[in-house]
Amino acid sequence: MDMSQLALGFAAALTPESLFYCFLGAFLGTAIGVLPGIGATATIALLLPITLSLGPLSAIIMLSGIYYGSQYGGSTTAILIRIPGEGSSVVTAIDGYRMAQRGEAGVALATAAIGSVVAGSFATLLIGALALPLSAVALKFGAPEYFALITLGLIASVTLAHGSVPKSLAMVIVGIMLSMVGTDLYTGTRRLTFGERSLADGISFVVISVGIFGLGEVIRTIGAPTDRDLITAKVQGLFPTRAQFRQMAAPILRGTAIGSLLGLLPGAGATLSSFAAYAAEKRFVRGPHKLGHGAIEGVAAPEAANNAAAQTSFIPMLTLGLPANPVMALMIGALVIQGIRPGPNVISANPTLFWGLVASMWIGNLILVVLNLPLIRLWVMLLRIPYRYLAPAIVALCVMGVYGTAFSVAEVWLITGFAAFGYALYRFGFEPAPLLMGFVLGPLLEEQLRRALIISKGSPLIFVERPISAALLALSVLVLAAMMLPRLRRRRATVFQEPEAI
Amino acid sequence: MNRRHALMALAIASLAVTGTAGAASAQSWPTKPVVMVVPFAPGGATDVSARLVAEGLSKELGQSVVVENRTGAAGNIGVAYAVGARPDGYTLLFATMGTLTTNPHLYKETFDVQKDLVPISKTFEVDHVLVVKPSLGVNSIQELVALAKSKPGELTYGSAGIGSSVQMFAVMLNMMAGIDVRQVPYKGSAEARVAVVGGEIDMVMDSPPSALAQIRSGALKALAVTNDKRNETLPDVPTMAEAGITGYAASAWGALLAPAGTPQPIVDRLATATRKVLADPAVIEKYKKTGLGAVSSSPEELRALIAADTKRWGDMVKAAGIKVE
Amino acid sequence: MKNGDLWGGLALIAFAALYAWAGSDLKLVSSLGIGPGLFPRLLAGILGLLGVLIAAQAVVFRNAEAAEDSDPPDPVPLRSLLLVSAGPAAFAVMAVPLGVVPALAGAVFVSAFASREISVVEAFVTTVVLVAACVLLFRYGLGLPLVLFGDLLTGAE
Repeated sequence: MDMSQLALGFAAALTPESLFYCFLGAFLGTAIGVLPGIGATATIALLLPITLSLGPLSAIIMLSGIYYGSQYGGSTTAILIRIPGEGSSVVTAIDGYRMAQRGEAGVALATAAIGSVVAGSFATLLIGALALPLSAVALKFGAPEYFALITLGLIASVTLAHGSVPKSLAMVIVGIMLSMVGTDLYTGTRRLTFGERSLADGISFVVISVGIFGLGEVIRTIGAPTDRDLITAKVQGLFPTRAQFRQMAAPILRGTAIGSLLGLLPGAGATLSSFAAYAAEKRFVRGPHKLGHGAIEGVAAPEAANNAAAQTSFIPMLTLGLPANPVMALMIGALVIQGIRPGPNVISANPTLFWGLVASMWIGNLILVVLNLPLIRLWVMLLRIPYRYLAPAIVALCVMGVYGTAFSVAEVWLITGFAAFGYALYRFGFEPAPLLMGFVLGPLLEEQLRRALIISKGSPLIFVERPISAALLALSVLVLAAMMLPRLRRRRATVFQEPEAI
Repeated sequence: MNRRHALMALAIASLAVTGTAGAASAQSWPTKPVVMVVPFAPGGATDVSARLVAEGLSKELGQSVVVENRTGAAGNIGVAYAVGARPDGYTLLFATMGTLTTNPHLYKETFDVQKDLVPISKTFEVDHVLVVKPSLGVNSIQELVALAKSKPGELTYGSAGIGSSVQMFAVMLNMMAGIDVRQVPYKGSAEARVAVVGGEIDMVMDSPPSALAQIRSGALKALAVTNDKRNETLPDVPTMAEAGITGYAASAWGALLAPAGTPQPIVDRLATATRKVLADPAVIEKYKKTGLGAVSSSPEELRALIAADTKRWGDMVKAAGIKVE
Repeated sequence: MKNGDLWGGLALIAFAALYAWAGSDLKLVSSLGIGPGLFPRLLAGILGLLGVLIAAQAVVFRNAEAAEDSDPPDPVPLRSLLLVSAGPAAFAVMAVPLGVVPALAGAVFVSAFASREISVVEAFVTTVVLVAACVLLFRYGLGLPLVLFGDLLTGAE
């Protein structure tokens, strides 16, 4: 990497104006990210007029601040009230929420923040050093490669659960089934919408997340014989101990590596990365604090991964004009209206912009930590509110968040149904995390499979003729076999014991 | 004074005809913010252009015009919302060629665009450029047509979904050149374009500003633009007609409409104001950066355009066998 | 929990069957190859099989596990299940005709009683505070075009 270029970037990013917009973006992103549901959509609608009137560097600095701010905010709700803001924080909800139930919400939130900033710093360096060569990765991934990668991801997502393999697989399948609702990309057919126009674009992630995760949990907590207030009263330290720091170090590094790589693949990258990192931790973590029961590694690794991925997804965005999500699509829009075209020469044509953005990403991450560490105290205090007040507040925020996104009454009905569905899942001992993974990745699986077959004129050989896809599919088979065989033999007796949530 | 009298007379006349109280308020309109429904997500070209028009109209009308994004169902959710709104001039619709003229052939809906909406003005025009992957080895439309004819059904084009302009313009080329290039749908034109750069598919109809960087770097080869005149962003690229596809001329467009039953004086005032906004050099400049052409029209011209394009794309949909079950 | 798995497995089979029925009009092939109906049907089939497997495992291992399952499961918390779900439902019914404020008030008030420990006064105060906070946040803070009071209340046509 050219250090003088990076210095140029820091000079651009450290001007008071840039710093101000970086701070503003990170702040607004966090604030809106903690509102379940409303997330990026409202932020965009709200800030679009402002960003259009800013200079290109300020606009994109603020938008990217909002982007990772809202990602971080989404993890906060995942930890505090088990409502993941988007696909990439589903995994954080598993161990993070357990930690919060144990009174360690502060530690979980701090871990998430620290993991994010470490990962962000590394990924920023990576972008600075290797943006152009890495942009080729996205080009290498065509339909068959994506299909193979997602297959591997879905099979690995069974490891998210700690119960029986068939039950976790069943949840993945139910998730994919729910994701089929809506307009079929290839024929325009409206599938399983029952003539309801608001279902034409499918069920939104927020509806599933808020219904099954959030409200399902509210039903369970209020209905549980144990008094939840007794649990929240025993809040422990707000900040990780020295031993906990040691515990999270390696997972953060592993998560960063995984996330940096997968972030290069727009669309599936951020979500896949968080639970690829979690699956990897399953291999590494041993001992009593097992993953799935509130292990610090289960927060550190996926949070590092999704933040690293969020950063590296700027590479395909800037060099190919390929957005990974709606926020990035807006960034492209903001750049284009300023006369800057994302493309292979965006770096040489606009060095100040590119390096300024790279530098501001790093600064933004730092601002996020500085901003969020004091906030942790506030969040933990919120958890101390007696649950009989907190529960209606969660209901109100969920309903408003969902309704405020699309003004769709049908979606509010859906969260009603999914709340009961979420509770039923808990009763029958099914875990919701694999369902959400299936829901997020399912449409991509079908889309890429069908596209690959259209390109190959129906020949399935396309999946084995291409080396990357063949290797990934072989790996999927291995993972599936490794998962099925020993478990069936060894753990048949214990596998059904569902660990009760406290 | 005279003008006010004329308006008053007009208002009274239309009151007599329609028998509603709505027209009486037409002269004082607008007394509160006007909502402009955009059936697409914030940040896209349609939304950006709607916001520029809304900003200009706010100045012209002396009342704020607020953009409301009602997205979903290929734009049908926003259109349905506007169709169902009270026709009092406080709800407008900023729609596109696809939502107004292609969707009716693809989806069974509860509304009829030509009956349930009144046209106000065309608001933008956007050309597409046909880009191919360099490894295809063709340098002109003629070479492409020859190659496609030598291996029918082998070449592929990317579409941005069923009924998208990206698809319709390619179908039109298929029909007019008598070739058979197969469709591979993508979620959006950016994805389709990257698939051409990566070599997964052979060509795509993309908007000039998004493709520009990759055309310049040589990752994509531009063969022709779809409109009947050259595009300012790509002055060296011939039009389809110049390149030998005689009679090929198409551009996607956007338009401002209102629910049917909106008082005529309001429609006329909006049409005049929109024309003024779109003639403003600052607006034209901002449009250009997004790759849009600032064009306006009279309500009648827009009505005719909608009717003509509805027929054209209907024929194309039928002939190409695109069918949504 | 074993009985739970039996019922869980049966529920999956029922869901798969319902899903397959709902998607039975979707075509298996299209002009572009695979049709819109293939994946849904395939998935329903796989889920059905998994349901059978889970239910069968529950029946087969029932005796072996019976000893471990000494604790009877908690009763289903009907009150919280009904009232928490009723909150969003109340909102959905009222949002358009009455507007967001009454709808949200209804939703909060109803769901507040999901807890046995709340008094009417507390529920009322909670409702007022939360509605005010949400309106400030979403309507004015985020600037969402929410209709606070619907046509039915403002007396418009």
